[in-house]
Amino acid sequence: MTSDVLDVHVTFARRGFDLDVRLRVTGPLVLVGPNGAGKTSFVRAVAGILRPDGGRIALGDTVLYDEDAHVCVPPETRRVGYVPQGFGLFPHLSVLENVAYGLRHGSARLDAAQRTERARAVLEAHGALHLADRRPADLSGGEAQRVALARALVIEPAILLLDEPLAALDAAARRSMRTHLSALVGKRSGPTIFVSHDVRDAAAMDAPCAVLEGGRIVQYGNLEDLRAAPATPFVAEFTDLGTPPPIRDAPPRPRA
Amino acid sequence: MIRPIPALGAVLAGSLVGLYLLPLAALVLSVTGGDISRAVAHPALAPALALSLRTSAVAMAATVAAGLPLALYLARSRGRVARLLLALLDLPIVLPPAVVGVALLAAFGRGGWLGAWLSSLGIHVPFTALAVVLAQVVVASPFFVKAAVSAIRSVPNDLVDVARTLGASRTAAAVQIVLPLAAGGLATGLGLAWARALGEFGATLIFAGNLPGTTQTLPLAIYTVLEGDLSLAIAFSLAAALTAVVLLALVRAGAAPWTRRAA
Repeated sequence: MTSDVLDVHVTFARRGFDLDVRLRVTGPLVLVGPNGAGKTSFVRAVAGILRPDGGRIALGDTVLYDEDAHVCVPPETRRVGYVPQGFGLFPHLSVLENVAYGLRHGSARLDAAQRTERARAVLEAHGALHLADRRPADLSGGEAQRVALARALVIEPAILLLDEPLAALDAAARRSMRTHLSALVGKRSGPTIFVSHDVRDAAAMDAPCAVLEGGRIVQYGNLEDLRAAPATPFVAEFTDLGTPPPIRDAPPRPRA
Repeated sequence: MIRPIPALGAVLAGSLVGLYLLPLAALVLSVTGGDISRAVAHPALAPALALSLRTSAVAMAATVAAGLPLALYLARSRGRVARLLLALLDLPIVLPPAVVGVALLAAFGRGGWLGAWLSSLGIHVPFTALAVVLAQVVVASPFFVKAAVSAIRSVPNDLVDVARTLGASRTAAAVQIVLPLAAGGLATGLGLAWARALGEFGATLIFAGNLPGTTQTLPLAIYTVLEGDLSLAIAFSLAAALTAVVLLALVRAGAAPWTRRAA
């Protein structure tokens, strides 16, 4: 697959929400920022789920969105792999049916036997083949994440969007998933946007970071550069690995 | 200061339950085998039952066909029009059925708005089986649409978003993801609407009349035989109650496989 450059400029100008972001994504990118900074809106705009108020999104020569030219390609033809917060697995379908879902439509459409074969292959690549017949409700957080990832990748997306993929996991699952994701992101050639608010994710991905604060990109660069010269207090706090946690005023409450 | 007295509360609550059960018990206990065989042999029962089943089935088909797209729109839109339409859905539930009947006459009657134009085409709606169906749709479909809206809203938006990125069109995502997950609520709404349609009386009487074989549904047949014979009316009523219970059970059973999958 050729690795095209993803050029994004999106603006939102709504009541209580002002966002103006320009980003050029060539490979993996970690998008960090405090809650409410607009990370999810940005990702949803790239996926085509949320229409911005202005700007332009292009992948190589393909225009996905251009407000001035009245172009807004619907999500089903953008070839975007999207894993939302909470994974968004279809609860009424088995794991295998979830993964095969993207092969039922449009240009990626395969017949039923091929769908099953392809979905099983992708599940196996993510170490989740043994889950094929389970229901999403019966999966642990880490298992659900692997399935959601397999489902997003089965369509061989040109762009991969992961919205806080590790936030819902417990510490152990997070560590093993972080390793899995960084290996996967390292292997991918296309643009991958990884939304996070954890500096350890940024460190593991070995990718440039863009810091989104108050609807603007306030800093862009490698983690070391950010740490060396943080542009805002948030960046300083975010990149600060070594300081011990602040001393509490009151002793922690005894656990019941 | 008045304090709530548990004993008084229990008496009040108990009398309400008694009020529900007493008429039902009277209905079941006062019927005799002779009444039932007289009812079965009565020339009005079979045509009224058939008409009730036929018209309510057509009314429910129309309700689902038109109500689902409306509910999908109302569930997802936060606009002013959608809010207005949602409020409008309460009207047929709130208005007395007699008012709905008169309003339908004003619209579709010979001198009515649409009626004048329709009769120039040779179509006369009032006092036909079509009028029965129209009255049932107006009175019963809001129950289905309202239940469908809340069932659809309970399906997380994320699932639709993901389905779209996986290649599903808006319609494909609605059919493959939203409707199966909302099936339980849709069946409950359909059951409610169907029961309301089967029981429709006031609007039907005014707008469609009480013509045996054409517009005399089961509730109108009960009203007609009641004039001369209470025990016959009781047997007719049991038939109507039985029909409603069986239909509700069928709707539930039909939705069960979907609901199980979604659970």
